[in-house]
Amino acid sequence: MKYLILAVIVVAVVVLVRLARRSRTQVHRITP
Amino acid sequence: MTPSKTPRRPTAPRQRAAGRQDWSTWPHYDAAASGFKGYWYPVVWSNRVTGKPSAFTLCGERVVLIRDAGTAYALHDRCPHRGVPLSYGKQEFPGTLSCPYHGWTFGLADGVLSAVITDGPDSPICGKVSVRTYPVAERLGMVWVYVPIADEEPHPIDEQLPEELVGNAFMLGARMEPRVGNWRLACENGYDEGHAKYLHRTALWRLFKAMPTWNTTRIERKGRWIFRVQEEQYWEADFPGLGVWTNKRWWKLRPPARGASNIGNTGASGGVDPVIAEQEFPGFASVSMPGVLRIAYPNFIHYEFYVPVDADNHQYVGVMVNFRKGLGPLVFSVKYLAWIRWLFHGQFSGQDAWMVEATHCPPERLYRPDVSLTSWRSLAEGDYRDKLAALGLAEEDTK
Repeated sequence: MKYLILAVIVVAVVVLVRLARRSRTQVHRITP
Repeated sequence: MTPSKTPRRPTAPRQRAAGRQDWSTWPHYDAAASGFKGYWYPVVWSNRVTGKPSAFTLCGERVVLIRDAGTAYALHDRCPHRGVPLSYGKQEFPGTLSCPYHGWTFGLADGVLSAVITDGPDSPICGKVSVRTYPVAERLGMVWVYVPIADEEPHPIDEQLPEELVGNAFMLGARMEPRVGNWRLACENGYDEGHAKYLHRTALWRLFKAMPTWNTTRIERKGRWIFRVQEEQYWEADFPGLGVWTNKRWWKLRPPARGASNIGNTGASGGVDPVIAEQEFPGFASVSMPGVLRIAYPNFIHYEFYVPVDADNHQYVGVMVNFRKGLGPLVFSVKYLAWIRWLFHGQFSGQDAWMVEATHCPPERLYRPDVSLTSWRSLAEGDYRDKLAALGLAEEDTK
């Protein structure tokens, strides 16, 4: 069950990131 | 019987001083309706710049952006032949951009006309015509363009970015969107001491956090930034003859018992992120040239870059940065995408956009908290005057 929940969270994050990159908002990891 | 008194009509308030009629106190600032040239501006997300040209207007100049072999380029978006936008064209050869009309083809790096498709390989005009190119850099996942004042070399972009964003790792969530209104009104709104406590009282972002009713403020300069330093906060106020007004509500967190906090404007926090703490910000809100707002909260910093498009439009670039390590970036990403971008960079910031669009000044009649506005104007005026002097540019060079 916990793996299912984890998978759902990961998929949700991926979908959110992909949707965001098409919109006016984006998230980025910046390293020096 | 005493004669009844004729009720006195309320006397009209005595005509006060008309206020400031123009911004001539700050002549360079007054003249910068289309922005200050000589600075880097974020114009578009890096991943939006591809081999297909796209257009953007910056400081009143039309710019075409295109990526070639991984490098982003910016050229003046006007073919010198007949004035057609080069952004309507396409890339026919590597390292070039061709006008859609007659196939005038310009080098991306130097802007020089390298071929004219409809005039054959020996076209004599090649090498004799060029379009202006603009310096380009990529930071924070965005493409930044520098519009020179004259023909000077640009300063390094890292000298212009907020210091804590150079050399630190962080996660950012940001919104870039075009907005109506002059960039100066947007910047003044961002740094405006008085507005947030009242205008944003209905913002969902502040649903559970009360803001002060009013506070005393002083302005402190540190480096190239000026800070709003809140001295005393008042969570409610009794207005004589009118009543009490407060932002406090039963469902909102209680204001802190201690005095003013200069990290965030809503009160207590469990601690301050070490990267933010080591900056030793004198106040939670600061601004620098060419219109960069920084609002420091205990666990993140919010920035706003007001990008001048032309005299009537600007681009809002709202950036929220979190410096946490470990799982922090993942947690921040989820929070940003799930609600921060809607509540903070959306509805909350949308209230600012509403006011910027509705503002019409000068003339204006300023009040006590507007020391924030006049201090920003003075900073802009002084810094730009110093910049011109350092570049050895006369006033007429800036026209």
